[in-house]
Amino acid sequence: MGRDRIVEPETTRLFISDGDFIDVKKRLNHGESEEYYARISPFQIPGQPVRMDTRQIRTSKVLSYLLGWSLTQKGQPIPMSPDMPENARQAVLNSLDKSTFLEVFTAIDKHEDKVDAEDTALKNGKGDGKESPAISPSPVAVAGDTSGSEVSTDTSMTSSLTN
Amino acid sequence: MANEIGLTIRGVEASIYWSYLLVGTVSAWTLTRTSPADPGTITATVKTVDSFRASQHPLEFVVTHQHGAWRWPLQSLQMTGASLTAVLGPRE
Repeated sequence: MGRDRIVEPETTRLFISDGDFIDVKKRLNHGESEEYYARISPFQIPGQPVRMDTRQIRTSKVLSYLLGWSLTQKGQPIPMSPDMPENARQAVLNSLDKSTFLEVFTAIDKHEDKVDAEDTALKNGKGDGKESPAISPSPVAVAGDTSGSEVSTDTSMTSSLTN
Repeated sequence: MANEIGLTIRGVEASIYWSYLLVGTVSAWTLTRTSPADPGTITATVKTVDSFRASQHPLEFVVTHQHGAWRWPLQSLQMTGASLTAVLGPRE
């Protein structure tokens, strides 16, 4: 029997610093991936080198995966929901302090790498299909990426575009 | 008797979700529950629908309000043209 080909809309909770968490999609389906690539590379012309909007690379990945979170401001929840218009979700992300955004992005990036590795192992017959625990990036791991630039932090995305 | 009291709720707009994915939007919806033993039925007019997602499970009927959203799980969903009828499932 073949493997399942439809992406079920599963969610995963990832913990960040200070007891906060984010809820994210476990994996993107084809349509969501296409939207992500269209956001970061809106100027692509067939046969031409890929031109990316570097301002959007990290924010677009977060927008593609993020469903909700526990973040607050002055004791009140900061709104974040897939029901919100995309420009409103982006405006909230743009208002975060830089270190908080980096924590969110890093958690999602590591989650994506983990799920991609699981999927590859499953396709190669090496995985058991069982889910491993959600990623909780350590403060050291998060802080370690703070010197990265917008472009250089997302090597996994770049390689998938050029393959 | 109190346990025979029915319930009717009406609204202007609502959405149906398959987990976090939007299945469709409806207007002029009515939720009717004839008794506490009745799971309840929703009728509405379909505005938009993704027919593949509508065939998936579990689905939720979602009504957003000023402070959040009301969510009802759907046990079944039928659409005939622009007319939608859904039977509610047990509350989680």
